[in-house]
Amino acid sequence: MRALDSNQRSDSPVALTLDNVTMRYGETTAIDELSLSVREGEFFTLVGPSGCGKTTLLRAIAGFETPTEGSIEVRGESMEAVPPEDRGLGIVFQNYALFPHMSVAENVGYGLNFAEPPDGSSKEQRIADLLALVDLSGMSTRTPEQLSGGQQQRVAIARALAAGPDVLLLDEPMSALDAQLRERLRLQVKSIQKELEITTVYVTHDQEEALAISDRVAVMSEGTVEQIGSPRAIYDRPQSSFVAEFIGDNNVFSGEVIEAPPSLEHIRVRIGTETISIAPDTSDPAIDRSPSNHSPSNHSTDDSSTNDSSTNDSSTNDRSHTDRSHTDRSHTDLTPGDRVTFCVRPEKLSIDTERNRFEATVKNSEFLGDSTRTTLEWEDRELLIQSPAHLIGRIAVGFDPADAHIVRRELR
Amino acid sequence: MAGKEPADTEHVAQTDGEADAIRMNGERNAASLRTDGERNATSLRMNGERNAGPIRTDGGPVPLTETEENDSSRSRSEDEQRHHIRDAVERRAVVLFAIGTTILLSLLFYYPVATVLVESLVVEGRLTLAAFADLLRNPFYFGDLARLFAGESPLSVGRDLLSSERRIGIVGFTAYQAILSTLLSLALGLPAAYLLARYEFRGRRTLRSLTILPFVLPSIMVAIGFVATFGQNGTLNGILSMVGLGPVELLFTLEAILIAHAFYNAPLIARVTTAAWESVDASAVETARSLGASPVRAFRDVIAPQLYPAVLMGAALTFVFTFGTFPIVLALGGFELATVEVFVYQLVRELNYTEAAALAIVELAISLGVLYAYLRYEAKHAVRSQGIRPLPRKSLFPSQPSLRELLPRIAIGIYAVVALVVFIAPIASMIYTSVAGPNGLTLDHYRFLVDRQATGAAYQVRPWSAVRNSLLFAVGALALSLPMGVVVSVLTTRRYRGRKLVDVISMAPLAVSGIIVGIGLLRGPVFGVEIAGWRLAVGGAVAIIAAHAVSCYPFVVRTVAPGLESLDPRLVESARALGASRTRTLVDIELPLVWPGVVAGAAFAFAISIGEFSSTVVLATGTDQYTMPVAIERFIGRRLGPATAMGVVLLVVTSISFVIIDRLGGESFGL
Repeated sequence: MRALDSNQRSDSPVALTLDNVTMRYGETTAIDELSLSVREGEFFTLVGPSGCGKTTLLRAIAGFETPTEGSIEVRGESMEAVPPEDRGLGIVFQNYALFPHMSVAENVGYGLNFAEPPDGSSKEQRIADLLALVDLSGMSTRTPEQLSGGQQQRVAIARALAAGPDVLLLDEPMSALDAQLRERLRLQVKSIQKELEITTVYVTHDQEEALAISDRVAVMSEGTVEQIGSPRAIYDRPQSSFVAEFIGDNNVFSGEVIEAPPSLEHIRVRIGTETISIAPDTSDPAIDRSPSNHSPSNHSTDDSSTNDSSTNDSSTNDRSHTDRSHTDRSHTDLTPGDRVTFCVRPEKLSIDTERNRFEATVKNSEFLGDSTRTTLEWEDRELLIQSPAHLIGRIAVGFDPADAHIVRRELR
Repeated sequence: MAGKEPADTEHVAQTDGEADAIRMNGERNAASLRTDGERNATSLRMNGERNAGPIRTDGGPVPLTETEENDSSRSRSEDEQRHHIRDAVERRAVVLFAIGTTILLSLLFYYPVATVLVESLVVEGRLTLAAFADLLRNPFYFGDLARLFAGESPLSVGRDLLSSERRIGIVGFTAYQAILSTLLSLALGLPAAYLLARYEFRGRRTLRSLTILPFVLPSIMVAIGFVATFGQNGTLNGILSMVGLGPVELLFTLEAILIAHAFYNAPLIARVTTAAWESVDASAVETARSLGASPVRAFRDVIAPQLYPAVLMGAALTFVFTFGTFPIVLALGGFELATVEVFVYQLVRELNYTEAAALAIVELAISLGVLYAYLRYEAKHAVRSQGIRPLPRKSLFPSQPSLRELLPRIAIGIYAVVALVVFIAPIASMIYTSVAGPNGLTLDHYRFLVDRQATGAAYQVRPWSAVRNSLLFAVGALALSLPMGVVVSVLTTRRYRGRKLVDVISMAPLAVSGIIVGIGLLRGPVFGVEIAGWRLAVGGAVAIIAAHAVSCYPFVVRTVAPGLESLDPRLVESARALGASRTRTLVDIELPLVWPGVVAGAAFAFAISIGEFSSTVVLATGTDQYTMPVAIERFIGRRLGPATAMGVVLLVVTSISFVIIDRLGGESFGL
């Protein structure tokens, strides 16, 4: 289940590196010693709740804000003291910021006043090519206000691409659009990105969008990166309860280990009055965090990707010092008395399974069309279950021990 | 992030400024490393030949570094060098313009004001506060308060101040009439705000935009309008005698001055209050109502608190304006009702510059004190609620009015009659008087102007010279103040540390009276300055243009800056990310988008210069550099008819300016 697409790129050169970037504004720290790197041609997404610092970070990359500490490099070149206009980046804002007094063609061609078209063609040809690329041929003489939201967004993308930027920065470009259009444009953006193989940094608060569109995702919270990985790794193997709960719905459980391997196949955890069995994760989550660790074809010259993995580790571990992280001891080291936190997705809870059965009371349910999401009350807390059936009253639910994913251990 | 946290915006502010600062220091050679060659590498991939892309096929990052080195050596051609120099100049253009504006502002404003200050402090070559001490202890200026400054016990002074025989002196009288003027302006302005904000009727928009008119109406013209209305043979007495009532003597009374001040300032109060009222969100009021508040209670709890800051701003500005009043009192009050400013002018005419300077500085200190107190209050209470949905307007003429609906409308009707008299009568009277003769309508007064031009003696005021001077000075002032205003707008809407200071320094001319600038220019550059043995002196015309430019450019700033402020910062950032320098962004993006504001600012500057009186009258004393307003003042005592005729000419010129301002940028005017 490893993310193949990002593995592919593990030997690409690094396009963008953030090293220990800290951004402080007076008392508040917006970004705290954040490091990450993005490879050539990668679609990289920063996702997190409002105020987590993702937009600030994007603006720092673009040069509109200056890090208090740390460095930003584009293609190995430090961006310190480089003004935005000389960074060679393309940016698309949430509101597109099209120049209202210019036609569509003038908007798209604006960057070509300062740089030759990258393909050596004429300015006019380049504008025409880009408008064709975003499906807006024939719109060139219109003004921005004559366009729909989706069209405006495509003009903004074409404008950002015109001068052939090294990196394309997208700041929540979809959030001003309605849900249906958003999904369609998401596909279009992704296909343009694939076609041009342009390194892209995408900022969104929408975790679903992040999973759908990205090669790799960095989940941010309070100015730090919680986890970096492929969408699947992030979804399947969250490394903190924050990621577990932010990415998709999740049920997070926390309890005391009663029995653990090797005496048993499963770890037995006591939660309140119940005892639950969970499978010890055979795969160390750390392995999947960075595909480069796994890649046997890892170039020795390509120290950037090794960098990447180490920075990933530090960024995630920084936060979880207190967890005495799993990298110190393997799972099987869990002994009775340790505390463990794990999560089970709502769709993995089932009324049919015989494993880990416990009784819970239905509090309310939402009909979603293809399924029903029900809130259950169990042991003074709420659980979410997604099931085809409409549930009422007091029911018995359970889950396969293998569907539990451990996010945190506190060793005794 | 749909709703960006305010803190975040603040961050943007600081760092953008820092980035600018860094850029201005020019430490940016690293930028040139990203060369065209590298761009080509990108472009190859971007054009579909991705399998053949150099980075990919060569494998790994090593070739990338090679490309980089090759390119940076190739790029050091002479052409590039030249390009870089031009680039560097362009990047610094904003800085260069800022320096130029600073020099102009220092020469035209701060240097003259400093001259006045020095004049008041240095007596016979010695630095002394004697002039101020004399002023403060002189009951002529400070009334009974002067005894306090002279060391008398506060108790006895206080007792005398409370008694009916108190003396308040000129400064006291000036403050007294300013307070009364402010109250009267509020009384006239607030109902207008209520009408404009809450009722819908034909001509509402026109009426609203007319509130900007007083800014461009020359005060001397308003004064002559009042003389034509309330004078001995004015239209008011004409109407009264027609209905058999005796003549009233309003001229040279406090009442006339107060009404003239209200004419000027009530529209300002109406304007700022209406704007605040329109930005009240209807849902806030509706929420209060649904929670049980009566309409009156909802007004008190929700609307009124959002109006106070605007009302206070209008009142503070009115106080400052009327405290420094000059042409109106000069024309309507004479020297019996002299205010500080009029007396400063009197002292200048008596060539008593030290006392004039000291008195002007005292006046300035009081005005700035009030403004400062207001700004402190504003900073603490600034609530900027953006009305997502403004309160709906009621129809002024409902089809079937109930008693409850009728009452406020009757009040409005009464108000409308009063307003008509105050605002329309002076203008109408002026126009009427200019064409009124003993035997019906006549063009005699205009003919007089033409004749005087042809036959007038050298010492007499020639009308055409006045018109020509006015236009000449206005064009000159416009040429100076427009670029200054645009540059200051740019500087005060950027975000960086010390912006507030720049704001204050550049807006100070708004608070300093023309008389001070006039005296400063007269005593400094016009009388001549000795620099390294050379005596430098500028002509009166140059000095007048300088004084006009100083009083005009804040108005350019007030029309251009709000436009720049409201531009989406993402537009600028997009342009910069696309490769445009800060200056280029200004030329390509910002200025085209605020162009109407720039034109409106120009019209403003032109109108203000045409109507400027205070500094002109000081600088034009005894010369032939008089302008239309000065000519009116010289005519006013002896020949009312020609004065009103000249006033009509002035009215035409300023009305054209008003139309331009209104069409292009009146809505966004920041006052």
